[in-house]
Amino acid sequence: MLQLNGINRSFDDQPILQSLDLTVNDGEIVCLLGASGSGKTTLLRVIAGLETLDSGDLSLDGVSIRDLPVYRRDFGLMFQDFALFPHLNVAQNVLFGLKMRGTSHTLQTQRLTEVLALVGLSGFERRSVTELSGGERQRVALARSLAPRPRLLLLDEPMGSLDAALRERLMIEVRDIIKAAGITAIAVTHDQQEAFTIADRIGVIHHGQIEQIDTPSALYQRPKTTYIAQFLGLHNLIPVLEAQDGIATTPIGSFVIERPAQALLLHPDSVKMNPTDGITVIVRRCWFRGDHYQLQVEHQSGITLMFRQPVPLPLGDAVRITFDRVIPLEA
Amino acid sequence: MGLARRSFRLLPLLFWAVFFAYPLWAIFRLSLFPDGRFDGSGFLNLATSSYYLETLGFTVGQAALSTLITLGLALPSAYVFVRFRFMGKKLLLALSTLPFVLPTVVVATAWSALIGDQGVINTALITIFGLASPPFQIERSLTLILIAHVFYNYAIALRLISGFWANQSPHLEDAAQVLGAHGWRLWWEIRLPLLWPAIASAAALVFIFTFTSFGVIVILGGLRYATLEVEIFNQARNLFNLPMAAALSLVQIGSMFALMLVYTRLQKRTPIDLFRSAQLTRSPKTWTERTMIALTIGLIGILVFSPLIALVIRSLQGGFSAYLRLNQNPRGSVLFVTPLEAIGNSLMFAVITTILAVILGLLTAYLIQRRGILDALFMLPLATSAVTLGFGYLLTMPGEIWVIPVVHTLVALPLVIRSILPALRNLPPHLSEAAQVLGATPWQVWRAVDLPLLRRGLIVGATFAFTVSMGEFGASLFLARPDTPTIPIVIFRLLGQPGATNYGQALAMSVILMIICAISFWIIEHTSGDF
Repeated sequence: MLQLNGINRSFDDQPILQSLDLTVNDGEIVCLLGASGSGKTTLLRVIAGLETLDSGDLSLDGVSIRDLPVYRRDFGLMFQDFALFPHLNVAQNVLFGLKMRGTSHTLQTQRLTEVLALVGLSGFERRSVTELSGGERQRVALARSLAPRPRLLLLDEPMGSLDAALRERLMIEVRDIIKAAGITAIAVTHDQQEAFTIADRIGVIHHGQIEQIDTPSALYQRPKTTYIAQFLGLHNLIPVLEAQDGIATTPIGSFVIERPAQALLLHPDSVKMNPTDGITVIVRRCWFRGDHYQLQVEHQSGITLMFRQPVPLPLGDAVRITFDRVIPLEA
Repeated sequence: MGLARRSFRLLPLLFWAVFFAYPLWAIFRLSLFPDGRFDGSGFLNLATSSYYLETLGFTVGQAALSTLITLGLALPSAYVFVRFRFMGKKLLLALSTLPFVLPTVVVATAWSALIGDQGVINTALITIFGLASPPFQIERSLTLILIAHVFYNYAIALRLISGFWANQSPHLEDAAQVLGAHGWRLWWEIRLPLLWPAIASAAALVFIFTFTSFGVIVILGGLRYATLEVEIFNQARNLFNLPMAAALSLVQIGSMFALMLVYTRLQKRTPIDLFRSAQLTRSPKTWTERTMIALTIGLIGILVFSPLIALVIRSLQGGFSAYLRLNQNPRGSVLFVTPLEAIGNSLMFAVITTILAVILGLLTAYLIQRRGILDALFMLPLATSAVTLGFGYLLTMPGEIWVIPVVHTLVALPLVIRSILPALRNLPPHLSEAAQVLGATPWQVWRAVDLPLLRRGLIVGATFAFTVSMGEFGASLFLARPDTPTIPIVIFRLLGQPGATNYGQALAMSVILMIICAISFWIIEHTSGDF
């Protein structure tokens, strides 16, 4: 179990990580999701030992590793650019970590076969890493990180440098490989699809802290803050004008809320047309999205909402809509 | 570890301070504060003496003339290289850079072997026509000096201009032609303005090289011609007028720094073309075009190769006897040691220089990579002439034999740094971190990742250091003791003596030095591909 307690790190008086806490359980894949500049890569480097802490502590299985130099941590790190050694071939790259540890030759050969089979690159031993395709490089990088059986695997934007077509397929593969190896892993990414696919739990980093950490579906269904809802690309955020006794007043009506909120998310998945109930809105835009139509409607208060519909609606029509899920959001 | 690393980093700075700043400071003090107080009279004497003004005038004049002739030849050649495709073009361009690594003494001897009084051409004409005296008497003339300077700098200008030109969009010229420009207007309105940054920085570089010319002038010019550089040597070593030499050195240092400043400015103006596209080469179509190509090939052949071939031929006059006599000291008074021992000295100095320069160059490159500002500091020795450095050492560390490899290291260091730095900057940023995460200690990281990736740069740097040391003349002349001369010094001393045996030995030594440098050149070209 990896534990981070009150991690602080600043660069030039600019705080990047602010009393950040995080716990990662054994065998779990945690994805840290954040915009660029949110400090997610710094956090990964702090965990790896490539970056020092200003204060706070990090421990693995109850033992502090704060002062352990990077090369003694026995972690694996897969870089965004993969950082394969251009002067070494596939086998030499993969075995680098074992060689540094002085592992015997027999064990090295054995492990090489195992790991290459795991990533599906058997037979690539003698290939030059400069001749490989993007997907193959990624797998060599993964194999190199896994070969020394790290206590923790870190992945920095694991799909970052691959093209869109490859990503989807490889994301699932990477998850399968990590799970097959039974390794605890932390990945950072700015891509929510990547996080949803790979992670058991996702932590959203904002202002140098983890704003929410949850399973992918919980995060998507019940984001805690306005920032997270916006970052996940969820529409239909409306401001709360007044909140009293569990009732929130908004420009489009009042809603019962179970906790204090600055804004409400009318979850787009839960917007339903209803001829007899709900608020009246005017259809402003309607466009085809393949398996559904996307509707943009306007309330008389000027607030616009979005939702999906199986059939198109004529512009200018008035319709009534209801919301099953109204999620209170903190600032 | 932290302390060890810090002291590693301090080492280059320490070397720079002791062996560059301190000798220069000694010159500065001697010229301006001879008795501890400021005294500008030395300079006043200098500035008002007509002899000094003549020397300065000659220095500037010959440099300007050399620059003009070099560019006048290099510009049309660059056009031929950029525009046309012809057999052996790549090889020719590569070989034309050979002079860059050739020591001045070899170049000077080679030209004298070609058209000197005892040269191949004159001896042939004398034998054929039974003449009483050599028909071409250009030894000890400005003409020969200029020819040697063009020999040195032609390829540098050619490579700079054609490299810049080749990366320009061919559409610019096409557009001008569509708009009605052709012939000389194309040159005047389009090509020259577009090439101006490259022409200007090539001119500045050639001017700098010829402004500090020393070996070529003392060997080919004789006593009649003196640049500032030659005069510094003359005042310090022959007349023992140290304050005068110091004042001259200061003028030299000042001019060089100013020139280097101009050069760096010009170089910065060389714009980086974002839409990089290469000029297309084509086969020549008309006879005019074929003639241009033939003339260019002929020029490189005559300019670069004929003197080197003449040197070899002339050294073999009388078979290998000149070579076989290198272990003898024909006239005990001329040299204290045999030429063979000088070769041993040179090799020893070169090996020490190579080791020193590579270690310091590597440390400095790491230092510069972290603090870019220090780059300028370590390039300063490049802007300081060898003779000035030699003089500074004479003032501060006289009679010390070990300063020869040290001064060679200082001269070679900018080249070594320039060979290593690009490789260092090209190291992918995450490689060393990846190795660390995989369990490599800092030392293991360096051994397993950095070193193999820097290998080419280190080989090129080491070869440069070796070659510079083998051929260095100006500073060595100041510092070598009579009993420990290097190859260039022995050649110089032999050339100064009358007699066929001395001349033959000088030629043989030059050929040996040339072969060593040519091998180095081959290694550099093959390892770096491009420099």
